[in-house]
Amino acid sequence: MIWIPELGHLALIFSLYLSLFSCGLALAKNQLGLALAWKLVRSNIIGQAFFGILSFGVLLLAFAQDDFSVAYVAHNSTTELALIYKLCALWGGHEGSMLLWYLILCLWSLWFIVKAKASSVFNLNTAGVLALLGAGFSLFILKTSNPFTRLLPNIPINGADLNPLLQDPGFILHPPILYLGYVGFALPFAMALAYLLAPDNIQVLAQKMQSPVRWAWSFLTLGITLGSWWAYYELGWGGWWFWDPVENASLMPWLGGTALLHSVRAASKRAQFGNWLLFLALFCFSMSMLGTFLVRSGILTSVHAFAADPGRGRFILIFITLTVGAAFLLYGLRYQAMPWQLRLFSKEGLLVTLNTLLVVCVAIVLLGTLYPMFADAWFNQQLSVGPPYFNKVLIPIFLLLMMLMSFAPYIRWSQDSWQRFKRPLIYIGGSSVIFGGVSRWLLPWQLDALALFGLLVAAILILVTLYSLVKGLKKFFYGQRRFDTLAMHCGHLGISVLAVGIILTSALSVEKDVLLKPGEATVINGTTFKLEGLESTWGPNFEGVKANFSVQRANKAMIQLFPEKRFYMPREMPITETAIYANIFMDYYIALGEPVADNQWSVKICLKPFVRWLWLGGLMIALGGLIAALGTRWPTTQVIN
Amino acid sequence: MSALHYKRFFSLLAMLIGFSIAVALILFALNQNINLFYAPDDVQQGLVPFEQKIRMGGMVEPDSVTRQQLSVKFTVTDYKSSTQILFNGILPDLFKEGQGIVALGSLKKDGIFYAEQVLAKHDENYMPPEISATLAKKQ
Repeated sequence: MIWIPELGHLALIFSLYLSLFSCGLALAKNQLGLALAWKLVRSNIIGQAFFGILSFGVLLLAFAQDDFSVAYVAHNSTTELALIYKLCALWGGHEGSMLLWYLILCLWSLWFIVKAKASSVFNLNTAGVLALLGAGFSLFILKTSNPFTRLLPNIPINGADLNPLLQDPGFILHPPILYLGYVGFALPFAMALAYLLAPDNIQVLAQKMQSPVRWAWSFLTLGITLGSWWAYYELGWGGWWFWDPVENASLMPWLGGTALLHSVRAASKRAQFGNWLLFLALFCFSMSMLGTFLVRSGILTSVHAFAADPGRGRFILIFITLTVGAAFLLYGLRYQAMPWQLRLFSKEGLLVTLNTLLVVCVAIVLLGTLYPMFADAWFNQQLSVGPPYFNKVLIPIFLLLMMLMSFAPYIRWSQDSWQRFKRPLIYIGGSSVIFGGVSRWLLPWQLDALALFGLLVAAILILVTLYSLVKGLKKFFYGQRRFDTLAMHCGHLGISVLAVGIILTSALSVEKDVLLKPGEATVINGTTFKLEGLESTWGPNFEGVKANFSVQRANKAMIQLFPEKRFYMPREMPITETAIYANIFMDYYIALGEPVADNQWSVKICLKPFVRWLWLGGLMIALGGLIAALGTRWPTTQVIN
Repeated sequence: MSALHYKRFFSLLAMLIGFSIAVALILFALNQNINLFYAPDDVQQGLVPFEQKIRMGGMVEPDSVTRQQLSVKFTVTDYKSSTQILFNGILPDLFKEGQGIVALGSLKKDGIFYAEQVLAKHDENYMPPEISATLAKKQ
């Protein structure tokens, strides 16, 4: 039917109106009466979500049916694309990803409405803030990035294709999961604001925040891990983190979210963490929105950046300034200092240290990410900040955090004594010194002092955590179901595995660019890579060359690898399809370069030891979050007023 | 001042000093690792320092790409002047004549830019902001 895309457009407009109406209702609660206002807001938000989903579904249908009269479909899809990529092409460009963002915000709002059954000022205010955010983002889509705009009357016969880099399984999962995390922080943001509008019992607020914070943080962790893995095999550079502004944009809410994750639990036990809780809840989603601004405005050089339209950046910047500014203004006005006998050597003291260090990390990343923008604006100087800045400044802090992680979980609340930790500290310190001394003969690799130190810190964390994890699991199966403890150990173990992966793969990776003809071989670290032959290959929208490599390792079975170079016709874009043989200790990574002379190809070959530990660690961290989230019950107590 | 005030004053002072040192160290690290961006015309005007890690960007001139084994030589232009770039290794997929690139490396006394890394865009509609700004300025 010809009018279907207009239906999607209309649904989005309805969704916007309903969310605006919800804000109005939340404001008019005194006139309407609380019960009535809550009832109306509930049905409004359900309506907003319904129309949001409808709008998303319509765009999905347009992609499935190759409706190239819709400009966005024509720019991001072709008839030749497999159905799954046609559907995912929805978030292959700016307009569609914003619609995905909005859809997920609608779903989170719906989730809140379902969970928070009874009417209360707190629930009503939270729903109001969520609706306000929804209104802002749907207005943004309608005003600057409408995905339903038509190309009439000259409808293209075929579309311009989805960017070939995105035609990959990683693209199906990475954006939605990442957004679930990013946008999920809207809930704690809204709850914190609702609380600030009508303050009451902060510990109940903390209990309420627990569930959304844990879910959002887990999804964000999973999303970042997936993104790193995808970039590793798709981009053909063999890297897994580039300190690209867009990666930083996801790391900042994650670091803030990690502090929030810990503070939520702390504040549910100790009211003194209330101020940290409120600050971090506001801070986290502000970072999410800032990330959106960085990605969408295109003001920074990045592999993720889209063709930029200054109007979009301006809109988001104004929206962020208003919401974040108002939120922190309210925080400042309502700030209440709490009497607190804080001792450094206690659980509270270490949690405050953790929060401080993580906020400092965010500030460091933020400075490095935004500095090019400021330099351009103030000094008219165009520059970029290199990865060494981030590595140099952040690595010491991360090492310190890992050291804290090895004993912070076991320290007591209020006050603890060094005496209790004297024995284990002496044992651990002593064995570390000894191990460090003999490591030259024990470890099969040559490592520099920093890498060795990092490895030691990670090893201590692994051993301590494994010990407690086994003890915790035993208790768990004997009936003491403490999900939180289990989740914490799982997450901390994940961090240490991640650290081992980062340290060893950075220290020991070997990369080599070589020229090879069929029949020729090259030897790297005792492994022979032989180019056996080349053949042509093709698909629905590409043609290319497939190379056949045999990889002969010392005393091990031979591996066959088939890296490809594809040329995607619709966009005239060459794409490298890497071939990787992965096992837990080593990746053999081959990426075809280009034909240099007759039948001779340039080839990038990498040996990447322990690189899998990175994503294994990331998955374990996410798993920890999910265990905690699954073990969280929505509290039945209301924030009273 | 009472003993309490004394204690507070000194802990505040210590915090302030610690904070300043941390900020100074961070800014120092930042300053050590920034890479300034230059256009070919800046080389022509002698504004570009030699032997210093910088970024250079512009459009790859058509028919300027020559290869010898793994090393690639090409010219980038801002439509006013042009600079020769030498790169040893595999170029990114989207490196193409007539398109914008950014290279990281250093300018040597021979007037050739030795690149360690060449970045091309990942989307044909996208232009790195530095290049579009340069082109807008120079045209």
